[in-house]
Amino acid sequence: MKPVSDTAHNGNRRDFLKKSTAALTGLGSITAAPFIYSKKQFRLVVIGTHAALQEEIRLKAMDDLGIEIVHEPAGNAVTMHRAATRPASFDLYEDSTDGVKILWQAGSIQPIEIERIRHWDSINSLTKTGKLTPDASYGAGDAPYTLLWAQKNRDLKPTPSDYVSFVPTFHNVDSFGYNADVIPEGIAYETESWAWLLDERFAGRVAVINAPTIAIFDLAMAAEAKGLINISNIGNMTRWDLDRLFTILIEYKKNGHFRGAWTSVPQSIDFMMNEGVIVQSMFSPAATALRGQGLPCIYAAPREGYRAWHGGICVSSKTHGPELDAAYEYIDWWLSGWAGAYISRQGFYISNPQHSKKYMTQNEWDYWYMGEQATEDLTNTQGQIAVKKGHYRKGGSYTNRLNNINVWNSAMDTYEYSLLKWQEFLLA
Amino acid sequence: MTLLSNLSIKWRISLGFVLISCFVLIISAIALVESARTLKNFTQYQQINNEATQMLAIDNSVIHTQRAVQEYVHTGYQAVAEKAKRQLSDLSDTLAMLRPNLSASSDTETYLNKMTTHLENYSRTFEFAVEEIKNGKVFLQTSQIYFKSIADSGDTPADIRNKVLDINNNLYSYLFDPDLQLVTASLNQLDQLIDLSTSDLKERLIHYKRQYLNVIQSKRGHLFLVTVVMAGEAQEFQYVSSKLKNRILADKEVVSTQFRDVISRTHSIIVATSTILILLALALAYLITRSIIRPLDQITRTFQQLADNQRIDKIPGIHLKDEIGTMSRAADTFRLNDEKNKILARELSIERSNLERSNKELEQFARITSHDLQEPLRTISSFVQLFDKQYQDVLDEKGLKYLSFINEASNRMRSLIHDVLEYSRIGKTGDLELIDINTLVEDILKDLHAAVQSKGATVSVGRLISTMGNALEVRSLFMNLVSNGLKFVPEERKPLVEIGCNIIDGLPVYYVRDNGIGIDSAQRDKAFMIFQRMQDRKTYPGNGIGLAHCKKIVESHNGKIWFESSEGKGCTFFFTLGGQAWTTSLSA
Repeated sequence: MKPVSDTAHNGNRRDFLKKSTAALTGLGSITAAPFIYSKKQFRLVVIGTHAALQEEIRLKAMDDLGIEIVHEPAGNAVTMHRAATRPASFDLYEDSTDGVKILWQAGSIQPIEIERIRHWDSINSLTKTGKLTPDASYGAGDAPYTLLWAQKNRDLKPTPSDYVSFVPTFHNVDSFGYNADVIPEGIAYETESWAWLLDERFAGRVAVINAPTIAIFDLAMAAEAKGLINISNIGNMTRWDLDRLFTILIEYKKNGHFRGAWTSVPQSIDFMMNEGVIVQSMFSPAATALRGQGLPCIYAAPREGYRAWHGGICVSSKTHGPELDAAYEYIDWWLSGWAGAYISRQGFYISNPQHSKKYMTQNEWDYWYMGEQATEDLTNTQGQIAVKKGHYRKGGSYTNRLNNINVWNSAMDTYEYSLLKWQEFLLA
Repeated sequence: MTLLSNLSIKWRISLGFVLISCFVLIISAIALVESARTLKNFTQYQQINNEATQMLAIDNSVIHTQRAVQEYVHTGYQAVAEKAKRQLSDLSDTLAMLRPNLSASSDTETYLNKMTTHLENYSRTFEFAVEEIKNGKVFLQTSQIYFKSIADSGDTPADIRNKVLDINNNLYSYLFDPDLQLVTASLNQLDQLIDLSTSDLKERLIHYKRQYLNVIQSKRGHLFLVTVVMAGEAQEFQYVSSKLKNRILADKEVVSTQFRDVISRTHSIIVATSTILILLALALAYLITRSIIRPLDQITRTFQQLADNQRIDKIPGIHLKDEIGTMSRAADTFRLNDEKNKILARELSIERSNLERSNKELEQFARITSHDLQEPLRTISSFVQLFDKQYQDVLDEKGLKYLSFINEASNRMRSLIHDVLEYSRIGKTGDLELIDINTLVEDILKDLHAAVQSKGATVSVGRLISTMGNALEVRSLFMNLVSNGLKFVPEERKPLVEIGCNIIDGLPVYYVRDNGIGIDSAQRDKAFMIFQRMQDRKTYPGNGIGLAHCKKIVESHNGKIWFESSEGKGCTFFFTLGGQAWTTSLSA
């Protein structure tokens, strides 16, 4: 039997992916292969989460770059799966770096030449060396600096090289949000704790994200904070650790402790707005949006430290030629300031904030990055008041928050096993 | 009571029936309304129950579907995948069918929309998972082709072949128990082998590694789809389904409670209403009955007192406006009449006593007078006879004539006194006895034989019914009538006398018919009066007391006597003697 050629196979796979992706995302027409006629005819397909793929950014990028950009946002896990298995279905992947290891190993993303990134030098040290300040901790798990540098032997190691697996962009430290109408506001790094996720007082009104690479860490930190378990390396749990952890979690689940697991940012907003959830692991934009809708959602600064994540842009291994050139332009545009300022108003950080400062008011800069008091009401990207005058950002300044990282979102060695345990947990 | 007593008994009874009918109508109306409410609640309960049943069917369908999906994920059999798809389709149909059956409410609509969305996501993801598993099989088959091209090639060095064998075994181990560490080590080894190899083997190893990675990613892919995406959708579906089910069950509980409450309330209302209305009906019946029976009892007692001849001052209930009042007033009239009758009876009794006393005195007077008058009369007659005998020669013809007149007057007075004495004795002596009238008439005719013969009369006698009576008086009765029949006949006419008896209205009516001179109708009223003569004494001698005798005898026997006659054409006397004899005679 003649081996199936890679090209032929990939062709079939690409056709399948076009159909299946369209169905999965609900979009009717997408992902025709990029064509090279003129710049105007470029069509970059960008996949990522809702947090990253925002319409205003897409429109601004198209306007500034003169290329057609298609955003296909989806949930974190769905996006990662698509990126890992169907590299021909996208050009750029914008998401958390915890998927980079999987994508790199799957060969679905290609090394990026740092020489072609004009703003590379402006990117701060968090992803380059692992710390913003010398006294900060690296954090457990797949810290981005361990995944950034692509070695000649195709390894990803914290040793600087000419290539990177991703270009660092937006990032944040995540925790959980809670409804201050129900739960009295806690004190950052003192009383606010991941243990709240397993607090029996909130039984039935707790939710987590339906993404094992994220939620497992939230729940592991919660179980540890509550003294229910002790895990030696929370960033890379063993099967034994997972067995112990899920025994606890399933017990909670069976007792009706969890309302559910959300799949997307809008769903996490709906959970807290309409489904009675009062505390849940969530993303910063959801908390900002909820506050904009009048629900006093506080994004906690847990005393155990944050679960951090770093967003980045990866280039599909199937993107070449002019599309690749366009991809590099798009990456540079992202680091040029406007996009960083935009996502900063949603509570995210950009890896080169100095370029974004000029697109922000002093008040915005002082509040979001410096952790200072808002001297006037601050609006979110929808124009709604997200921060009231006199308010401080929970956790302090950018540096202060990024120096309190407990664990990074990670794809553990026990990834597959964690999926099985996760399913067991969901259906318990 | 006042109201009732103002109504007639007819209206009272009618009112009672009308009110009781109204009570029955009220109970019926309440029962009807409550049963309609119960029916409505029962319909709601039925609908909710159906919803609950359908939700249970969905739960059951979800369990079967998940089982089929898991079976497919573990076996990879296409037939099982088709079965799971069919069950997903069936579940979707069940959900679609449930939608119009569920009671319309915004939360129900939201639940159903969410369930539908989650089911669609689940089904769509399952399609991807199926494709991913299929792809995985293709990748595995392709990888094995490359593996064989490496392992089976004579060009492949033994150590590389052995390492590739281990690497390939690790792939199968991974597929059985997905442990990333196994394949990570293998991939590193493959990289090393690729670096060490040259030309064709290197190319085959690169292809092998690519397919190897595809198998792993495919496995990871379908694992992710099943364990995260599908499990998440399933969990949300079940959560919403559970919420909907709980809402339905809560609604069911509410409707059940309402149903129970309605039945209980219906029961209470009907029992309470029935009890109240029955009590009202009984009270009404009691009042109506009492308004009728009480005065009736009083009147009955009064009538008994009246029957006992007790004095009653007043008939109770005469003030009532009903039929009892009417009856009481009538009874009061009767009472007043009775009072009057009693007074009259007393007066009559006094009159009767007076009359009896007067009669006795009169009879005594007549008897004494008759008896006392006879003695001087006999003396007169004796001395007249002595005077006639002693002085016959002395007296001239005129004196003798005068003396003859005195003698005749004395004799006539004696005869009159005798007749008056006899008349006064009628009805005073003798007991009643059964009289054979035929024998009695035969005896009379024997006594009258000479007169019959002398006048050449013919006397015919019919069958005569025996009767009770005073034999002497009855004999005198027949004697007088037959004698009159023989006596009051013109000389030129031979007397014909017929004696007979007819039965009229059950009573024997005796008659004596003659062909005599008859009685003038103008003198009819005087016929039975004492000493009334209707002919001159010379032609028909007598005292004029015979028919008066007959009348008194008949009346002393409680009978009646009358006659039919026309002057010159004879006369028929009819008489009765009471009914006792008739009965006895018939029995005899």
